[in-house]
Amino acid sequence: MIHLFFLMFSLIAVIASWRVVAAKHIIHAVLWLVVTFFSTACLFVMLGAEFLAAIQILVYAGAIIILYVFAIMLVNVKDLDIKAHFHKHRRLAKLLGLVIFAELGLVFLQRFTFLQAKGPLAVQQAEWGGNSEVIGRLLYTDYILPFELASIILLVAIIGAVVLAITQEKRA
Amino acid sequence: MISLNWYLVVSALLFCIGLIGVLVKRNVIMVFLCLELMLNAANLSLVAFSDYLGNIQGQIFTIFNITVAAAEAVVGLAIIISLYRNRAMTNVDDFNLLKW
Amino acid sequence: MLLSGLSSYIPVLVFMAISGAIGFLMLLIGRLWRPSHPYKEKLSPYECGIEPEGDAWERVIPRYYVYAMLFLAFDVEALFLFPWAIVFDKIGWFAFIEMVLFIIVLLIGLVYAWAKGALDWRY
Repeated sequence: MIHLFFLMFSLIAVIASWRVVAAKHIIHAVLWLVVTFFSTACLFVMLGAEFLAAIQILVYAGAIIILYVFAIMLVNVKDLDIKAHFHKHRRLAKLLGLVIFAELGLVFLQRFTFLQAKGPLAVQQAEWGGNSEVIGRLLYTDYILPFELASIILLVAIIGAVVLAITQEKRA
Repeated sequence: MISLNWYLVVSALLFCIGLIGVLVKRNVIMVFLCLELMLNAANLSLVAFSDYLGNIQGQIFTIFNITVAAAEAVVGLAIIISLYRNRAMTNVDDFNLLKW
Repeated sequence: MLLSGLSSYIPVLVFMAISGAIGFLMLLIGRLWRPSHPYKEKLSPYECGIEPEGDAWERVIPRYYVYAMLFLAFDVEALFLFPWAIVFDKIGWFAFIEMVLFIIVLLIGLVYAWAKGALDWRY
């Protein structure tokens, strides 16, 4: 049963991500990307990361994709060059991708075979509550510095985007 | 019981598809979409390791990864929009000048 | 752990299956039953009865982008607020101060965007 679901979600993810790359129209690519994110969220649930699955759908499939759709709507779609949308060296790129995948696949199939799922994490979660509690406990005690740095990153992102989007507009 | 290897293979496959997209596509927004695909694959392998090692750090790392991806999308798309406004092009090949 | 953890998602799966089946069946039955007489007027995009004008792919003004961007930034803030709110009573006031700092830093960004006029709607 669990194998069936793993197979289903990973197949959906892989096929949808291939459709992202092969899509003729950019909006189709964005919609296929949403499908990929959803099936990855399902895989997250299977891996016991429920909080991240919710975040994946809320932030990735919700907010980031909306931003992409806005950006696509801001540029003129006729300029998007739908026909000639591949580089000349696409055969080489595909070959390179296949070679890297072969390498990664070989490593991944030979190594890490000793690991068994659900070790101490399951125990920890049973003591502290669910997945979100464990994340919250560690995020706000051991990871203060990265957490505060995340706010700085977001601040820089806001300021940068305002500068790029507003001051340029005023000058134009 | 699925072993960790299969999650990693799926993650590698997603990563390589995204890589091919980044190398092949000419449109900047498409290149960004494929970059998101690669980030997503990295997140999947982090979460898989987090589960199989019994260590929550992988998931916390993924949270920061998503944050950085959001910031990257905000700034990157703003750059694309202002480039488009100045040059009316969205192909990677057209952005070969850093000063304008 | 795996079975007991994941078997709690069976209702979600049943829900997804039923809602997907309903959507699919409605489209399928409609396709089988409806008469099909398309003509040009009927196929044109509906704009409240007015003649459609221009292309559907109009450029929208960049003003929208700033709102989407601010929404994304505060969406990520909500990502960090949620686990904090869950464990707040267990980790105490230190985490509260941390979160206040976090929100203040993000508020600086909001104030900046406001002061730059990113939030007023000009044409």
